[in-house]
Amino acid sequence: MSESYSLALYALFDKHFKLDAAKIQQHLEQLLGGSASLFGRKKVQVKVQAESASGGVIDLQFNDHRLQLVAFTVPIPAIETEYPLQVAHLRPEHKEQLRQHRAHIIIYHKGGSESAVEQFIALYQTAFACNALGLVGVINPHTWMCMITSMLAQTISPAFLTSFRESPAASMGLWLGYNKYFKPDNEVWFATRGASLFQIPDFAYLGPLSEGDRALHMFGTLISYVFQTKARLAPGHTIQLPDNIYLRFGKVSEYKEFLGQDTLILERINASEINQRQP
Amino acid sequence: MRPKSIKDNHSRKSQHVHRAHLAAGSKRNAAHALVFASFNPDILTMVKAARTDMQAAILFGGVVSAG
Repeated sequence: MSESYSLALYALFDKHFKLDAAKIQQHLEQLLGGSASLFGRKKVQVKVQAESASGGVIDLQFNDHRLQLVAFTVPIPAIETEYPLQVAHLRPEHKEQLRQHRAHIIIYHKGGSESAVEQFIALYQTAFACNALGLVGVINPHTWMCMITSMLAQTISPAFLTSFRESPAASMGLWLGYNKYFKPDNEVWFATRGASLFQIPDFAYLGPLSEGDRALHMFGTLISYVFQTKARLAPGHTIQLPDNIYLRFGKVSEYKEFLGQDTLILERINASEINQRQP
Repeated sequence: MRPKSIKDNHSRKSQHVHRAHLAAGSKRNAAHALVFASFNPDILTMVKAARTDMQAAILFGGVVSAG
């Protein structure tokens, strides 16, 4: 494939399947509400590019989205799935179910819509349309978030999509990455993953495991703040959050390969340090 | 135009102070709560539990004790 893509999503299957374009089209149209638009044109356009015993390729268009589904009758290489499965917010048996998948489709978003929010929605809706082929779950290679199919069904509900459009923070731990990394001294790096896809910095916070909920709430507030105001944050800036939480943003100093080179570290400071240069 | 509920002074470029006011946080929390309210209890429990679960994590430097 020479054409570029902006986002991708892995759809995992527990058995081999025939890449049935008509079935995916039918399910996606049901999901989008109705099978035909004005002038009798299908809402979802599909074109089979390649078909073989080892997989296939389908081009798919709906609304402003151009997607490509590339199917393989083999599992995703473990090197691609191991980190996402380690941090997955799933029970061990569900992680194992995803780990043991036997076939997969890579769903590429190849253009059309400029909005990363809408691209995410299109990817997850398309993945759910593949449920007709025996979908067991999805892995987002950008955010590392994994979901089993029953969770996926609920994330494409109208209520979820409304909240997600309001702020990607609403999907944290589901679509947007919220990961934990234990250091040898038992402190934990809590970190977002994939926020940069929405022109928002990723954030990380170091603390004991008991501060997981606090980290989640700080990340959520910051992501919504930047998403809704387009504020530009940088190392050295300070911010006041609800509940009189004061923070200074810093640069990543360790584990850059996991936390991200451009991630902003949250450092707790006192109220008196707000708007003061770091000594 | 910036929403009135969010007051910040990051436009004062020399100072770089941001203030994500209570309204912004509340709105975010409301959106998140709405999302999670739409989940069935089983899935909700699973996702919440993972926040404090050592199994849902990457361990740097090998074995970490549960202290």
